Amino acid sequence: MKRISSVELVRVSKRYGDVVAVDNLSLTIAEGEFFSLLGPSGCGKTTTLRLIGGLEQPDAGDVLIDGEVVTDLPPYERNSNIVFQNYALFPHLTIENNIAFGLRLKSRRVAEPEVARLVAEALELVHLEGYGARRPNQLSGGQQQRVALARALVLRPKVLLLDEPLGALDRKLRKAMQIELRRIQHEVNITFIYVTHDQDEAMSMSDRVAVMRNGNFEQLGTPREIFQTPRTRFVADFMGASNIFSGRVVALGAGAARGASGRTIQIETESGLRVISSDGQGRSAGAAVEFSIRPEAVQVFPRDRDWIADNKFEATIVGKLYLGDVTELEVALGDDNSISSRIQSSIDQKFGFKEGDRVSIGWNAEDCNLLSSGSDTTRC
Amino acid sequence: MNKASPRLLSIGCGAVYLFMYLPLLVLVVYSFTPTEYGVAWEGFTLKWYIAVFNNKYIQDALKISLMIAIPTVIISTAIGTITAFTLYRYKFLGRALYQGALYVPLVMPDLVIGISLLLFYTSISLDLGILTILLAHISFSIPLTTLVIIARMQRLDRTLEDAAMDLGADEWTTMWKVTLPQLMPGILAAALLTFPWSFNDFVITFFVSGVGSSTLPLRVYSMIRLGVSPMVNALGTLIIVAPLIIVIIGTYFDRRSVS
Repeated sequence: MKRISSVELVRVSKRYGDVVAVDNLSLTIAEGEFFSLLGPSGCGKTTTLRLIGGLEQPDAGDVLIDGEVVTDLPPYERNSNIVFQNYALFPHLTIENNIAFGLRLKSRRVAEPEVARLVAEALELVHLEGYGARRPNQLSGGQQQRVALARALVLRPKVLLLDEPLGALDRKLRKAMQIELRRIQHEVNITFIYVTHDQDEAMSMSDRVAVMRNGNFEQLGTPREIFQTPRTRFVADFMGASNIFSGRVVALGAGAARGASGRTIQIETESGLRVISSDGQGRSAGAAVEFSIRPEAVQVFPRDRDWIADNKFEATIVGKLYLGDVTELEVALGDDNSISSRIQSSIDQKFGFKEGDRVSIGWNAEDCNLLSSGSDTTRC
Repeated sequence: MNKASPRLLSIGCGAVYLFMYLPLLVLVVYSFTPTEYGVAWEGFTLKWYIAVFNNKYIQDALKISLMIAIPTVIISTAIGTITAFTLYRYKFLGRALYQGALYVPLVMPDLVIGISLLLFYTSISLDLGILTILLAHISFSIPLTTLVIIARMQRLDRTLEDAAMDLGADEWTTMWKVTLPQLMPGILAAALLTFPWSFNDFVITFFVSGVGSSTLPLRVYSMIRLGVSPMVNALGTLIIVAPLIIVIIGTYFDRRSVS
C-alpha cells in the first residue's frame, strides 16, 4: 500500500542572482518519515527547507504539503514549522509565552485553559517542566534548542523542518539530542525534514538521506545505502570513503571471490593494481570505472601473518594518526598508490605498527564499491 | 608599558572631566548662595529657587517649552520609527540618498536652519508662534530619532520575524508582537534623547518664535540681558539636572537593549 506523501517537491528551482541555490529538484517524502538533507554548506539544503516552509518562494516548480499545492501560500498559512539553527526564540517573552505564541494567535483561536494545557504538555515532551517562567537568555543552548522544538511541535504541524538544530551544541549534548529527537519523532509521529552537514547525524537518525550538491540530489537512499554504496565520487568522498581509484575492467567473473554475491570483475587501476570487485553488475570488459573502498574495510596485518582476503598487497606504513577508538594508517602500495585504513586502536597496539613497517594489507571483493560512470571525476 | 602609565591616564582622565564639569559646578554652587552680585560664597540659601518657582514668566516659559518638547518627542519618534523601518526594510530608488540626507541637518549650523525656517514660514505667511517652533523642532528631531532607531534595527535578528511568520503570525501581527517589542528599547532611547534636544534648543527656536511664545532658554536669555541674577543660576541648575536625569534613563534603556 502506498503511503500518503507528506511533502512533495515538483521540479523546484530557486536562484539568487546568478547563483542557482536549488536546481530542478523533485522529491517525495512519506508521512512520518525522518528525512535528512545532507551536504556541505552552499549545496542548497537550507534553501530547500525554507522553500518548504514558505520563507522563500521558488522561481519554478511546486511545493506540496499533505497533497495540497502550497507554492504561493505565505509561511503563516502552511502546515509546517521550522526549528531554526539559532533557535530564534523571542527574547522578550518567557519560555511559556514563546511556546504559546502560535497557539494564542487570532487565526488559531485556542482557548486560554487549552493553551496552558498544551504548553505544559509540550514542556513535558522536551523535559523542561518548571522552566516556563524563565526567559530564553536564562537557558543553556541545549535547553533553548528544546524550547524551539516544543514551540514548533505544540502546533502539531504536518511536517517539522529542522535547520541544523544541533549545530551549536557540544559533542556530548549533540549525541543525547540525536536520541532525544528520534524519540520525540516516534512519539508525535510527524514528518521530520532535517538539514545537516554532519553525516553522523544524518546516519544515526534518518529513515532516508539525500546527499545534496549544487542544488540537486547526488544520491538518495537509506543511511546504509549511502554509507556502504555511494554512487558517485562526491558522495563517497563526503561519506569519508577516502580511497577512490580509477581503472579499467580487464576481466569478467575472474578470481572468484569468497562468498561474493554480485558479479565479480577484475579491474586494473591506472597505477597498475589488480583488484577484484563483486560490484560489477552491468560493467563490460574494457570499460573505464571508478571505485571506492572505505578505510575501515582495509585490513592491515604484519607480513608474516597468514590471513585471507580477495585483494591482498604488500605495503609500507607511511603515516599514522591516533583517533581514540580507531587509528588511521596511511599505507603506500608501490610508488604511486596510497590507501588509508582505519583499524581498531587495540589491534594497532597489539601489532605495534609504526611508520616504515612493511605490512600485508587487503580487503574483500564486496568492499570494492563501483561508482557510477557518469560522475564528475574532476572534483572531489 | 611602564607601571606609571595607568596612573597617569587616570589623572589625565580626571582633568578632562574637571574641565567639562567645573563650570557647571560653579553655577550650581552659586545658585545656593544669597549674594546678589559678584562671586563670593556667603552662606547657604534656597531663596533663588523659591524665586524661580514664584516667577510667573519662568512658569509660562516652562509651560511653553513642555508644550513644544512633549509633542515633538511623540511625533518625531513616531515618524522616526516609520522612516527607519522604511529605510531599513525596503529597497527603493534613491534609498541611499534618503539615508544620507538624514545626516545633513545634524551637521548643518543651527543658524542656517533657523534662518531658512524663518524665511520659509514668512514666505508661506505662517504666523510665528508655538506652532512654528513645534514644526521646527519636529523637523530637526526626525533625523536624530530615525538614526537611533535604525541603529537598533541593525542589531535585530531577522530570523525572529521568520519564526513568527512560520508559527502563523501574518506580517501585521509579526510587526506588533515581535518587531516592535524588539525595537522598543531603541524607540525609548530615541524619545528620551529627543526631549532635551527640543527642550534645550535656543538658536533655531530664537528665529522661529513669535510674541508670547518664549521657551525657557529664550526666557533665560532675556533675563541675562538685564543682568545676571542668581535666580538664573538656580534655574540653570534645574535645567541641568532635569535633562541629565532623562539622559541617564535613556542610556540605561539603550544599554539594556544591547544585552
